[in-house]
Amino acid sequence: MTNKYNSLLKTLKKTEYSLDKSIVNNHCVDWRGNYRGSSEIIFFPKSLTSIQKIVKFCFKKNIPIVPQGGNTGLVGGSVPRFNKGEIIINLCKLNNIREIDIVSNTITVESGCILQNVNDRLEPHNLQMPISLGSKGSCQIGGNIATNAGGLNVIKFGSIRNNILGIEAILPNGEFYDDLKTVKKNNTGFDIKQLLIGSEGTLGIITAATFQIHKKTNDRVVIIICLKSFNHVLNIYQKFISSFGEFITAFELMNEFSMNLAQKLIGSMKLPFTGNYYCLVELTNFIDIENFSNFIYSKFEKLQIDNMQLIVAKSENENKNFWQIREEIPLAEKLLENVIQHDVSLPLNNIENFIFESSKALKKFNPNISIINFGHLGDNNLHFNVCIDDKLNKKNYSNFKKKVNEIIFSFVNKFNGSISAEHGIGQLRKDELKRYKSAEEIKRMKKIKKIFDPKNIMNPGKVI
Amino acid sequence: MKALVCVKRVIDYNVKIRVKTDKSGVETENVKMSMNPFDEIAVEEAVKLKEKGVIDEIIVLSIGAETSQETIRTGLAMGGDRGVLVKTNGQEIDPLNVGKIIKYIFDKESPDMVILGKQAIDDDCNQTGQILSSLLDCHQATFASKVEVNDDKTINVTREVDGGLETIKISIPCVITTDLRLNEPRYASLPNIMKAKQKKIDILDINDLNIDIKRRVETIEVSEPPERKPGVIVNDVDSLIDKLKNEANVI
Ligand SMILES: Cc1cc2nc3c(=O)[nH]c(=O)nc-3n(C[C@H](O)[C@H](O)[C@H](O)COP(=O)(O)OP(=O)(O)OC[C@H]3O[C@@H](n4cnc5c(N)ncnc54)[C@H](O)[C@@H]3O)c2cc1C
Repeated sequence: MTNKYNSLLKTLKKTEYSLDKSIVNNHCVDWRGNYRGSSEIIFFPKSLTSIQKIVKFCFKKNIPIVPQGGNTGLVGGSVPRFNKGEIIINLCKLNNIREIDIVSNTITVESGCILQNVNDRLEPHNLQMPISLGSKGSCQIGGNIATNAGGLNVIKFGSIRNNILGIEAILPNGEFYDDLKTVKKNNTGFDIKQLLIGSEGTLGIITAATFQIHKKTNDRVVIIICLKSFNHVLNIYQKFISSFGEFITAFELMNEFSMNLAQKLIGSMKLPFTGNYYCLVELTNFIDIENFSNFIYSKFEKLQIDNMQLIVAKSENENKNFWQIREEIPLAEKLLENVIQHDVSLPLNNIENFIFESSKALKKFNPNISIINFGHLGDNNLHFNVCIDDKLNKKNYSNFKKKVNEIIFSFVNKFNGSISAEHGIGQLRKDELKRYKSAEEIKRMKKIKKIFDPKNIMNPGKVI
Repeated sequence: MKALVCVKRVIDYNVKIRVKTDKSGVETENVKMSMNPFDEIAVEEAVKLKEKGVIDEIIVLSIGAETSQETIRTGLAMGGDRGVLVKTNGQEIDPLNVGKIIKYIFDKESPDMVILGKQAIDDDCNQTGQILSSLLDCHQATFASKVEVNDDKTINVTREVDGGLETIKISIPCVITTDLRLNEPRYASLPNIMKAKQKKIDILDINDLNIDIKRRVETIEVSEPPERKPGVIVNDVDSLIDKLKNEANVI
């Protein structure tokens, strides 16, 4: 078996690949354990030249490649399919921080760096990366770029796309793509790197990028608000945006069911009030206001929100406790069987109608359905997850799931939303993409794919 | 009864402390400041006693720079009635001098009890309560984990001592210092924050009190603990083996 790769392996270091079944298999399963594929070999290239050698070899021999980062992706994009002769290129050993420029606030990092490690290196300079995700301790910069990752700070800094100044990559034919600029303005024709951002490994292997980085301050205040209806949520959202604007670093939404679930299943902290919706707002003191809490209190006066059920954390300890409530929801959800997840986004003004109409349709379809609804409201991003108490066998479950997806996505479509807000398409949403994107748009995507990857060897079977 | 509660503005418990390059102290610029956690417990206890109808007025006192007003405001948002700030220029004040300043306010306000944290988490002195009670020549109950006021106005205080609990009975006026398990401080809620904005804070200048605040302790050097090499946490045995093989190259 190995001789297929022998001529290639001779040119690499021993630590740059593994044929060990247990190691390879480990990298063939996705984080949620929903996608299990197979591969004969995994590569851990340490340099650009090694990557180039591997890709050129595969290009010549028509061997499909799966680029892999931290393998935390949630749509089955980072693992090989079963018995398709795919090889894995894992970037974890390409992990140098090439340059930190504290004058223009930019950093150039290789794609295998773990997000948290990059942040740790920036910490002494009081700087931070523009993104923050729950998976920050495992996900890699390359994976973040390839999925155009969102996360907690999008409301403040925008998604990854808004913060990338330059990209370097190896294209499917082994060509070196070098656009590692550090300038902020660059209007010189088509911006090809934008296509690589969010390409989920289908257009090439990202090897490095230059990011805009931001000032870090530890002084933050977290607030939790409890509201009767979604209408009230929008109202308070608007008030907060207009009076705290630049200070807002997160605006999260949780419905009552998701909150109760976390309390029931993992004993999350109880709050001194109850209502249909809860918002978590994080305000960060970017301009070193001396009495930040007082500043916030004085703004409350002008907001005319006198009798609102709202609590403000008095210390970092309470900040953390408040965040924990939000973070424990996905963990509680993981303990349930039969949860069907949706990561959708909708225009703010349509969210209320979307929730109302799709919930009604779902309940009509099956009255035992409950909805775990939370997400990054500030980015119009809802996790709208459906769970059901009934015991379902495999076949019934799969039919049930199909129907639920249909109901939800048809309302997402009706209300001008997106069927995948931040997690991407991968294998999970491939079929649905065809249904909810126009045929012309799919055609255009296919043409672009062909230009980059004429032999279709870069992450085939994903996205399109 | 009337309670005087003392609160100190300190570097937040969760902030990673950085020593100044000249080793004269710790970095406080751009650092999150909060109420000393033990003082939060002191405020909560006073508010609880007020809710029980035992106390009818809570005065929240802080000694520190102008910015300590924020800390007092937090105490008022938890349920304190009015505040007093003894304003300094931000200089360090030894526990003995803190005791003398609190006594000054005590003499002015004649509260029945002074409740304060057993220590402040910045200098960890654990002296102020004890010094204060000897300056006032009154009863003290330190490390309190339970406080019960009896009908005859004596107070039963359960104290956390080595290897167990001790319950003592003291009479007023008295000094009580709080331990971690006494209670769980409440959140600052919007209606209380709004009410707190209307509450009065009196500001006294430390120089007007005629108290000698000369330091008797000199800080020679502040240094960081020796650095430890960071470890990594892996999710399961397989990834441990993977790391040992492929990253550490030891097996
Ligand atoms: C607990 C948890 C919380 C999460 N929270 C969020 C969140 O808030 N927001 C969000 O957007 N996502 C979130 N995710 C999803 C996921 O973490 C992100 O999508 C992350 O950016 C993926 O990075 P990774 O290195 O793990 O990539 P992988 O999972 O390894 O790969 C993801 C995709 O990128 C491709 N890829 C990876 N590296 C490269 C490269 N160097 N070049 C080209 N293609 C590459 C892969 O082929 C695959 O298609 C979360 C995941 C978990 C487990």
